[in-house]
Amino acid sequence: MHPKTHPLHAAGVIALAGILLGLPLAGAFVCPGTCAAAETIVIDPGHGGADAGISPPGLRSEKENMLALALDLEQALRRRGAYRVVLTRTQDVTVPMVEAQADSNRSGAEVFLALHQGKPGEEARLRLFVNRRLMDEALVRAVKKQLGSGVRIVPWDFAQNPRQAASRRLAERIGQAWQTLGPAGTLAGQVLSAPIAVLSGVQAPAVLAEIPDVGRGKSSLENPAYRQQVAERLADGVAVFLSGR
Amino acid sequence: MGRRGWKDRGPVLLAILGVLALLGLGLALFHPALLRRVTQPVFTMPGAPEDVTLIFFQPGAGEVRERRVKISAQAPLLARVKKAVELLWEKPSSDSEPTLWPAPVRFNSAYLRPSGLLILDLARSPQYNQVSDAYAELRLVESVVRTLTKNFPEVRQVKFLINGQEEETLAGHLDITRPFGERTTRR
Repeated sequence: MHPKTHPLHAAGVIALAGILLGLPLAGAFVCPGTCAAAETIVIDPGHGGADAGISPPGLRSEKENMLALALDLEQALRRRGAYRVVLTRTQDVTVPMVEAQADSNRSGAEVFLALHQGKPGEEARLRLFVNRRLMDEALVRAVKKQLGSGVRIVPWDFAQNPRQAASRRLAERIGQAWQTLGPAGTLAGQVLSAPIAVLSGVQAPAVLAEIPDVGRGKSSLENPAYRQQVAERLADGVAVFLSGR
Repeated sequence: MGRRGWKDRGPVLLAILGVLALLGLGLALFHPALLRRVTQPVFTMPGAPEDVTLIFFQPGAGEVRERRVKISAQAPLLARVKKAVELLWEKPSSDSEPTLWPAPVRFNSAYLRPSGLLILDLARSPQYNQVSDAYAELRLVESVVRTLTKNFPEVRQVKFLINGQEEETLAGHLDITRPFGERTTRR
Protein backbone atom coordinates (compact mmCIF):
# COMPACT_ATOMS: atom_id res chain seq x y z
CA MET A 1 0.00 0.00 0.00
CA HIS A 2 1.23 3.49 -0.80
CA PRO A 3 2.31 5.22 2.41
CA LYS A 4 0.08 8.27 1.69
CA THR A 5 -3.09 6.30 0.87
CA HIS A 6 -5.37 5.96 3.82
CA PRO A 7 -7.10 2.56 3.97
CA LEU A 8 -10.49 4.28 4.23
CA HIS A 9 -9.84 6.11 0.93
CA ALA A 10 -9.12 2.83 -0.83
CA ALA A 11 -12.28 1.30 0.61
CA GLY A 12 -14.29 4.34 -0.57
CA VAL A 13 -12.95 4.03 -4.11
CA ILE A 14 -13.80 0.32 -4.22
CA ALA A 15 -17.31 0.99 -2.87
CA LEU A 16 -17.93 3.74 -5.44
CA ALA A 17 -16.71 1.51 -8.27
CA GLY A 18 -18.99 -1.24 -6.98
CA ILE A 19 -21.99 1.07 -6.96
CA LEU A 20 -21.26 2.38 -10.46
CA LEU A 21 -20.82 -1.12 -11.86
CA GLY A 22 -23.58 -2.68 -9.81
CA LEU A 23 -26.40 -0.32 -10.64
CA PRO A 24 -26.74 -1.34 -14.28
CA LEU A 25 -26.48 -4.99 -13.31
CA ALA A 26 -29.17 -4.55 -10.69
CA GLY A 27 -31.27 -2.84 -13.34
CA ALA A 28 -30.95 -5.89 -15.56
CA PHE A 29 -32.57 -7.98 -12.84
CA VAL A 30 -35.43 -5.54 -12.36
CA CYS A 31 -36.09 -4.99 -16.08
CA PRO A 32 -35.21 -8.16 -18.01
CA GLY A 33 -35.43 -7.97 -21.79
CA THR A 34 -36.85 -4.74 -23.21
CA CYS A 35 -36.57 -2.57 -20.15
CA ALA A 36 -38.83 0.40 -20.13
CA ALA A 37 -38.64 2.20 -16.82
CA ALA A 38 -42.22 1.74 -15.66
CA GLU A 39 -43.84 3.29 -18.71
CA THR A 40 -47.58 3.41 -18.22
CA ILE A 41 -49.85 1.67 -20.70
CA VAL A 42 -53.60 2.18 -20.39
CA ILE A 43 -55.88 -0.50 -21.87
CA ASP A 44 -59.53 0.34 -22.39
CA PRO A 45 -61.66 -2.80 -22.98
CA GLY A 46 -64.48 -1.55 -25.21
CA HIS A 47 -68.10 -1.23 -24.05
CA GLY A 48 -69.22 -2.80 -20.71
CA GLY A 49 -72.22 -2.76 -18.40
CA ALA A 50 -75.46 -2.02 -20.24
CA ASP A 51 -73.54 -1.51 -23.49
CA ALA A 52 -72.69 -5.01 -24.74
CA GLY A 53 -71.17 -3.89 -28.05
CA ILE A 54 -71.44 -6.49 -30.78
CA SER A 55 -73.55 -9.34 -29.45
CA PRO A 56 -74.74 -11.72 -32.15
CA PRO A 57 -77.30 -14.32 -30.98
CA GLY A 58 -75.64 -17.31 -29.38
CA LEU A 59 -72.17 -15.75 -29.25
CA ARG A 60 -70.29 -14.12 -26.42
CA SER A 61 -70.63 -10.36 -26.48
CA GLU A 62 -67.93 -7.88 -27.40
CA LYS A 63 -67.76 -6.44 -23.88
CA GLU A 64 -66.85 -9.90 -22.47
CA ASN A 65 -64.40 -10.75 -25.25
CA MET A 66 -62.60 -7.43 -24.90
CA LEU A 67 -62.28 -7.69 -21.12
CA ALA A 68 -60.79 -11.17 -21.50
CA LEU A 69 -58.40 -9.89 -24.17
CA ALA A 70 -57.41 -6.89 -22.04
CA LEU A 71 -56.46 -9.21 -19.17
CA ASP A 72 -54.41 -11.40 -21.56
CA LEU A 73 -52.72 -8.30 -22.96
CA GLU A 74 -51.88 -7.06 -19.49
CA GLN A 75 -50.01 -10.31 -18.81
CA ALA A 76 -48.32 -10.26 -22.21
CA LEU A 77 -47.05 -6.71 -21.60
CA ARG A 78 -45.76 -7.56 -18.12
CA ARG A 79 -43.74 -10.43 -19.61
CA ARG A 80 -42.08 -7.96 -21.99
CA GLY A 81 -40.90 -5.33 -19.56
CA ALA A 82 -41.42 -3.39 -16.39
CA TYR A 83 -44.50 -1.63 -17.67
CA ARG A 84 -47.20 -0.25 -15.45
CA VAL A 85 -50.41 -1.52 -17.01
CA VAL A 86 -53.69 0.14 -16.11
CA LEU A 87 -57.08 -1.22 -17.21
CA THR A 88 -59.99 1.23 -17.34
CA ARG A 89 -62.27 -1.60 -16.20
CA THR A 90 -61.63 -5.05 -14.79
CA GLN A 91 -65.30 -5.99 -14.45
CA ASP A 92 -68.50 -5.78 -16.46
CA VAL A 93 -69.28 -2.15 -15.67
CA THR A 94 -70.01 0.98 -17.70
CA VAL A 95 -67.07 3.37 -17.82
CA PRO A 96 -68.03 6.66 -19.52
CA MET A 97 -65.60 7.50 -22.30
CA VAL A 98 -64.65 10.81 -20.76
CA GLU A 99 -63.79 8.99 -17.52
CA ALA A 100 -61.57 6.47 -19.31
CA GLN A 101 -59.68 9.36 -20.95
CA ALA A 102 -59.38 11.25 -17.66
CA ASP A 103 -58.03 8.09 -15.96
CA SER A 104 -55.45 7.78 -18.72
CA ASN A 105 -54.35 11.42 -18.45
CA ARG A 106 -54.17 11.26 -14.64
CA SER A 107 -52.01 8.15 -14.74
CA GLY A 108 -49.52 9.81 -17.09
CA ALA A 109 -50.04 7.18 -19.78
CA GLU A 110 -47.47 6.84 -22.54
CA VAL A 111 -49.75 4.60 -24.59
CA PHE A 112 -53.55 4.35 -24.65
CA LEU A 113 -55.02 1.31 -26.37
CA ALA A 114 -58.79 0.88 -26.77
CA LEU A 115 -59.85 -2.69 -27.64
CA HIS A 116 -62.88 -3.34 -29.81
CA GLN A 117 -64.16 -6.24 -31.88
CA GLY A 118 -65.00 -6.45 -35.56
CA LYS A 119 -68.14 -8.05 -36.95
CA PRO A 120 -68.01 -11.87 -36.78
CA GLY A 121 -67.00 -13.67 -39.95
CA GLU A 122 -65.08 -10.74 -41.40
CA GLU A 123 -61.65 -10.98 -43.01
CA ALA A 124 -58.66 -11.36 -40.70
CA ARG A 125 -57.69 -7.72 -40.95
CA LEU A 126 -56.82 -5.74 -37.86
CA ARG A 127 -58.17 -2.19 -38.16
CA LEU A 128 -56.35 0.49 -36.23
CA PHE A 129 -58.10 3.81 -35.77
CA VAL A 130 -56.30 7.01 -34.86
CA ASN A 131 -58.19 10.13 -33.94
CA ARG A 132 -58.54 12.86 -36.52
CA ARG A 133 -60.44 16.00 -35.78
CA LEU A 134 -59.90 19.51 -37.08
CA MET A 135 -59.25 22.00 -34.30
CA ASP A 136 -62.21 24.29 -33.66
CA GLU A 137 -60.26 27.53 -34.06
CA ALA A 138 -63.35 29.68 -33.45
CA LEU A 139 -63.82 28.03 -30.07
CA VAL A 140 -60.17 28.55 -29.12
CA ARG A 141 -60.32 32.22 -30.17
CA ALA A 142 -63.50 32.77 -28.14
CA VAL A 143 -61.99 31.24 -24.99
CA LYS A 144 -58.72 33.15 -25.45
CA LYS A 145 -60.67 36.36 -25.74
CA GLN A 146 -62.21 35.63 -22.35
CA LEU A 147 -59.01 34.53 -20.60
CA GLY A 148 -56.37 36.69 -22.29
CA SER A 149 -53.78 35.94 -24.93
CA GLY A 150 -51.17 34.63 -22.44
CA VAL A 151 -53.17 31.49 -21.77
CA ARG A 152 -52.57 28.37 -23.85
CA ILE A 153 -55.89 26.72 -24.60
CA VAL A 154 -56.19 23.01 -25.34
CA PRO A 155 -59.87 22.08 -25.47
CA TRP A 156 -60.49 18.61 -24.06
CA ASP A 157 -61.90 17.30 -27.34
CA PHE A 158 -58.69 18.26 -29.15
CA ALA A 159 -56.13 17.03 -26.61
CA GLN A 160 -55.17 14.19 -28.95
CA ASN A 161 -54.41 16.52 -31.88
CA PRO A 162 -50.72 17.22 -31.08
CA ARG A 163 -50.12 13.46 -30.71
CA GLN A 164 -51.58 12.37 -34.03
CA ALA A 165 -48.22 11.56 -35.62
CA ALA A 166 -47.13 9.49 -32.61
CA SER A 167 -50.49 7.72 -32.56
CA ARG A 168 -50.08 6.82 -36.22
CA ARG A 169 -46.59 5.42 -35.51
CA LEU A 170 -48.03 3.34 -32.67
CA ALA A 171 -50.75 2.03 -35.00
CA GLU A 172 -48.17 1.16 -37.66
CA ARG A 173 -46.01 -0.76 -35.15
CA ILE A 174 -49.03 -2.76 -34.00
CA GLY A 175 -50.05 -3.36 -37.62
CA GLN A 176 -46.57 -4.68 -38.45
CA ALA A 177 -46.60 -7.00 -35.44
CA TRP A 178 -50.03 -8.26 -36.48
CA GLN A 179 -48.67 -9.60 -39.76
CA THR A 180 -46.62 -12.16 -37.88
CA LEU A 181 -49.83 -13.71 -36.54
CA GLY A 182 -50.86 -17.03 -38.08
CA PRO A 183 -52.73 -18.61 -39.67
CA ALA A 184 -52.08 -18.00 -43.36
CA GLY A 185 -54.34 -15.36 -44.86
CA THR A 186 -53.83 -12.87 -42.08
CA LEU A 187 -53.90 -9.44 -43.66
CA ALA A 188 -51.74 -6.47 -42.82
CA GLY A 189 -53.07 -4.08 -40.20
CA GLN A 190 -54.99 -1.17 -41.71
CA VAL A 191 -54.59 2.31 -40.20
CA LEU A 192 -57.64 4.60 -40.49
CA SER A 193 -58.26 8.19 -39.35
CA ALA A 194 -61.61 9.27 -37.91
CA PRO A 195 -63.04 11.32 -35.07
CA ILE A 196 -62.98 8.56 -32.46
CA ALA A 197 -64.86 9.49 -29.29
CA VAL A 198 -62.73 7.55 -26.80
CA LEU A 199 -59.42 8.89 -28.16
CA SER A 200 -60.03 12.61 -28.64
CA GLY A 201 -59.19 13.70 -25.08
CA VAL A 202 -56.21 11.38 -24.50
CA GLN A 203 -52.90 13.15 -23.93
CA ALA A 204 -50.76 10.24 -25.15
CA PRO A 205 -50.29 8.24 -28.34
CA ALA A 206 -53.66 6.51 -28.64
CA VAL A 207 -55.13 3.85 -30.90
CA LEU A 208 -58.44 2.02 -31.13
CA ALA A 209 -57.72 -1.53 -32.29
CA GLU A 210 -60.63 -3.37 -33.89
CA ILE A 211 -59.81 -7.05 -33.53
CA PRO A 212 -61.14 -9.30 -36.31
CA ASP A 213 -63.44 -12.09 -35.27
CA VAL A 214 -62.68 -14.71 -37.89
CA GLY A 215 -64.86 -17.48 -36.44
CA ARG A 216 -67.62 -19.07 -38.50
CA GLY A 217 -70.69 -19.75 -36.37
CA LYS A 218 -68.59 -19.29 -33.26
CA SER A 219 -66.62 -16.27 -32.09
CA SER A 220 -62.90 -16.86 -32.50
CA LEU A 221 -62.33 -14.43 -29.63
CA GLU A 222 -63.94 -16.97 -27.30
CA ASN A 223 -61.00 -19.24 -28.08
CA PRO A 224 -58.26 -18.60 -25.45
CA ALA A 225 -55.51 -19.70 -27.87
CA TYR A 226 -56.55 -17.13 -30.54
CA ARG A 227 -56.98 -14.45 -27.89
CA GLN A 228 -53.51 -15.20 -26.56
CA GLN A 229 -52.02 -14.87 -30.04
CA VAL A 230 -53.76 -11.54 -30.52
CA ALA A 231 -52.57 -10.29 -27.13
CA GLU A 232 -48.96 -11.26 -27.93
CA ARG A 233 -49.00 -9.39 -31.25
CA LEU A 234 -50.54 -6.28 -29.69
CA ALA A 235 -47.95 -6.39 -26.90
CA ASP A 236 -45.15 -6.77 -29.47
CA GLY A 237 -46.36 -3.68 -31.33
CA VAL A 238 -46.61 -1.58 -28.17
CA ALA A 239 -43.19 -2.73 -26.92
CA VAL A 240 -41.53 -1.93 -30.27
CA PHE A 241 -43.18 1.50 -30.29
CA LEU A 242 -42.05 2.32 -26.75
CA SER A 243 -38.49 1.09 -27.33
CA GLY A 244 -38.17 3.17 -30.50
CA ARG A 245 -39.32 6.54 -29.20
CA MET B 1 -103.91 72.53 -74.36
CA GLY B 2 -103.61 70.15 -71.40
CA ARG B 3 -105.17 67.29 -73.35
CA ARG B 4 -102.88 67.80 -76.30
CA GLY B 5 -99.83 67.83 -73.92
CA TRP B 6 -100.88 64.51 -72.45
CA LYS B 7 -101.26 63.05 -75.91
CA ASP B 8 -97.81 64.31 -76.84
CA ARG B 9 -96.22 62.73 -73.79
CA GLY B 10 -97.98 59.39 -74.24
CA PRO B 11 -95.36 57.70 -76.43
CA VAL B 12 -92.57 58.88 -74.10
CA LEU B 13 -94.31 57.39 -71.09
CA LEU B 14 -94.90 54.16 -72.96
CA ALA B 15 -91.22 54.01 -73.89
CA ILE B 16 -90.21 54.54 -70.24
CA LEU B 17 -92.63 51.83 -69.11
CA GLY B 18 -91.23 49.51 -71.76
CA VAL B 19 -87.64 50.09 -70.60
CA LEU B 20 -88.64 49.51 -66.97
CA ALA B 21 -90.40 46.29 -67.92
CA LEU B 22 -87.30 45.10 -69.79
CA LEU B 23 -85.10 45.99 -66.81
CA GLY B 24 -87.42 44.08 -64.46
CA LEU B 25 -87.40 41.03 -66.72
CA GLY B 26 -83.63 41.13 -66.97
CA LEU B 27 -83.32 41.36 -63.19
CA ALA B 28 -85.68 38.45 -62.69
CA LEU B 29 -83.83 36.26 -65.17
CA PHE B 30 -80.22 37.09 -64.46
CA HIS B 31 -79.92 38.29 -60.85
CA PRO B 32 -77.77 35.65 -59.05
CA ALA B 33 -80.12 35.46 -56.07
CA LEU B 34 -83.12 34.80 -58.28
CA LEU B 35 -81.45 32.87 -61.04
CA ARG B 36 -81.77 29.39 -59.51
CA ARG B 37 -85.36 29.88 -58.48
CA VAL B 38 -86.30 31.06 -61.96
CA THR B 39 -84.34 28.54 -63.98
CA GLN B 40 -85.11 25.39 -61.98
CA PRO B 41 -88.70 24.92 -63.18
CA VAL B 42 -87.70 25.88 -66.70
CA PHE B 43 -85.18 23.05 -67.05
CA THR B 44 -86.95 20.40 -64.99
CA MET B 45 -89.60 18.42 -66.78
CA PRO B 46 -92.58 17.71 -64.51
CA GLY B 47 -92.17 14.29 -62.88
CA ALA B 48 -88.75 13.69 -64.46
CA PRO B 49 -86.33 11.83 -62.18
CA GLU B 50 -82.95 13.31 -61.38
CA ASP B 51 -79.68 11.42 -61.27
CA VAL B 52 -78.27 10.96 -57.79
CA THR B 53 -74.84 9.48 -57.18
CA LEU B 54 -74.71 7.30 -54.10
CA ILE B 55 -71.21 7.34 -52.63
CA PHE B 56 -70.04 4.31 -50.69
CA PHE B 57 -66.97 5.01 -48.61
CA GLN B 58 -64.62 2.04 -48.42
CA PRO B 59 -61.44 3.11 -46.65
CA GLY B 60 -58.39 1.28 -47.91
CA ALA B 61 -60.24 -0.43 -50.77
CA GLY B 62 -60.14 2.30 -53.39
CA GLU B 63 -61.72 4.77 -50.95
CA VAL B 64 -65.09 5.14 -52.69
CA ARG B 65 -67.47 3.29 -54.97
CA GLU B 66 -70.36 5.03 -56.67
CA ARG B 67 -73.80 3.93 -57.83
CA ARG B 68 -76.14 6.08 -59.94
CA VAL B 69 -79.83 6.03 -59.12
CA LYS B 70 -82.88 8.04 -60.16
CA ILE B 71 -84.93 9.99 -57.63
CA SER B 72 -88.03 12.03 -58.49
CA ALA B 73 -87.05 15.66 -58.86
CA GLN B 74 -90.66 16.66 -58.10
CA ALA B 75 -90.40 15.47 -54.50
CA PRO B 76 -89.49 18.00 -51.81
CA LEU B 77 -85.81 18.20 -50.87
CA LEU B 78 -86.16 16.32 -47.57
CA ALA B 79 -88.06 13.50 -49.27
CA ARG B 80 -85.20 13.19 -51.79
CA VAL B 81 -82.69 13.21 -48.92
CA LYS B 82 -84.62 10.40 -47.21
CA LYS B 83 -84.70 8.37 -50.43
CA ALA B 84 -80.97 8.80 -51.04
CA VAL B 85 -80.07 7.83 -47.48
CA GLU B 86 -82.32 4.77 -47.54
CA LEU B 87 -80.94 3.65 -50.89
CA LEU B 88 -77.46 3.65 -49.35
CA TRP B 89 -78.38 0.85 -46.97
CA GLU B 90 -80.96 -0.93 -49.12
CA LYS B 91 -80.45 -4.67 -49.52
CA PRO B 92 -78.58 -5.03 -52.85
CA SER B 93 -80.01 -7.01 -55.75
CA SER B 94 -76.61 -8.57 -56.49
CA ASP B 95 -73.39 -9.27 -54.61
CA SER B 96 -71.41 -6.90 -56.82
CA GLU B 97 -73.47 -3.83 -55.89
CA PRO B 98 -71.96 -1.59 -53.23
CA THR B 99 -74.15 -1.25 -50.15
CA LEU B 100 -74.15 -0.40 -46.45
CA TRP B 101 -76.69 -3.18 -45.83
CA PRO B 102 -77.30 -4.32 -43.14
CA ALA B 103 -77.06 -0.94 -41.41
CA PRO B 104 -77.18 -0.43 -37.65
CA VAL B 105 -79.65 2.43 -38.09
CA ARG B 106 -82.81 3.44 -39.96
CA PHE B 107 -84.14 6.82 -41.06
CA ASN B 108 -86.42 8.75 -38.69
CA SER B 109 -86.63 12.29 -40.06
CA ALA B 110 -84.59 15.17 -41.44
CA TYR B 111 -84.65 18.92 -41.09
CA LEU B 112 -82.64 21.51 -43.00
CA ARG B 113 -81.54 24.75 -41.39
CA PRO B 114 -81.06 27.87 -43.54
CA SER B 115 -77.30 27.66 -42.86
CA GLY B 116 -77.15 24.38 -44.81
CA LEU B 117 -76.95 22.20 -41.70
CA LEU B 118 -79.02 19.07 -42.20
CA ILE B 119 -80.24 17.48 -38.97
CA LEU B 120 -80.52 13.76 -39.68
CA ASP B 121 -82.46 11.89 -37.04
CA LEU B 122 -81.87 8.13 -37.04
CA ALA B 123 -83.04 5.19 -34.97
CA ARG B 124 -81.12 2.04 -34.18
CA SER B 125 -82.18 -0.88 -36.35
CA PRO B 126 -82.90 -4.45 -35.15
CA GLN B 127 -79.50 -5.54 -36.55
CA TYR B 128 -77.76 -2.90 -34.47
CA ASN B 129 -75.99 -5.30 -32.06
CA GLN B 130 -74.73 -7.53 -34.85
CA VAL B 131 -73.20 -5.08 -37.27
CA SER B 132 -72.13 -2.03 -35.29
CA ASP B 133 -68.35 -2.12 -35.30
CA ALA B 134 -66.17 0.98 -35.70
CA TYR B 135 -65.46 0.26 -39.38
CA ALA B 136 -69.19 -0.03 -40.21
CA GLU B 137 -69.86 3.17 -38.29
CA LEU B 138 -67.17 5.07 -40.18
CA ARG B 139 -68.41 3.78 -43.56
CA LEU B 140 -71.98 4.72 -42.74
CA VAL B 141 -71.26 8.27 -41.58
CA GLU B 142 -68.83 9.05 -44.40
CA SER B 143 -71.11 7.56 -47.09
CA VAL B 144 -74.17 9.48 -45.88
CA VAL B 145 -72.30 12.79 -45.55
CA ARG B 146 -70.55 12.50 -48.92
CA THR B 147 -73.72 11.45 -50.75
CA LEU B 148 -75.81 14.28 -49.32
CA THR B 149 -73.26 17.08 -49.71
CA LYS B 150 -72.41 16.01 -53.27
CA ASN B 151 -75.95 15.66 -54.60
CA PHE B 152 -77.85 18.36 -52.72
CA PRO B 153 -76.13 21.77 -52.85
CA GLU B 154 -78.47 22.98 -50.10
CA VAL B 155 -76.82 20.52 -47.67
CA ARG B 156 -73.42 21.70 -46.45
CA GLN B 157 -73.10 19.82 -43.16
CA VAL B 158 -74.84 16.88 -41.49
CA LYS B 159 -75.57 16.53 -37.80
CA PHE B 160 -76.65 13.09 -36.59
CA LEU B 161 -79.25 12.53 -33.86
CA ILE B 162 -80.52 9.26 -32.43
CA ASN B 163 -84.26 9.26 -31.74
CA GLY B 164 -84.27 13.04 -31.63
CA GLN B 165 -81.51 13.17 -29.04
CA GLU B 166 -77.90 14.26 -29.31
CA GLU B 167 -75.68 11.27 -28.50
CA GLU B 168 -71.93 10.84 -28.16
CA THR B 169 -71.68 8.05 -30.75
CA LEU B 170 -73.85 5.97 -33.07
CA ALA B 171 -72.58 2.69 -31.70
CA GLY B 172 -69.77 3.40 -29.26
CA HIS B 173 -67.00 4.53 -31.60
CA LEU B 174 -67.36 7.53 -33.91
CA ASP B 175 -67.89 10.91 -32.27
CA ILE B 176 -71.14 12.42 -33.60
CA THR B 177 -71.41 15.34 -31.20
CA ARG B 178 -70.28 17.73 -33.97
CA PRO B 179 -71.64 18.15 -37.48
CA PHE B 180 -69.87 16.43 -40.35
CA GLY B 181 -69.17 18.32 -43.55
CA GLU B 182 -66.71 18.42 -46.37
CA ARG B 183 -63.98 19.79 -44.08
CA THR B 184 -64.50 17.22 -41.35
CA THR B 185 -64.71 14.19 -43.58
CA ARG B 186 -61.97 14.96 -46.08
CA ARG B 187 -59.00 12.67 -45.52
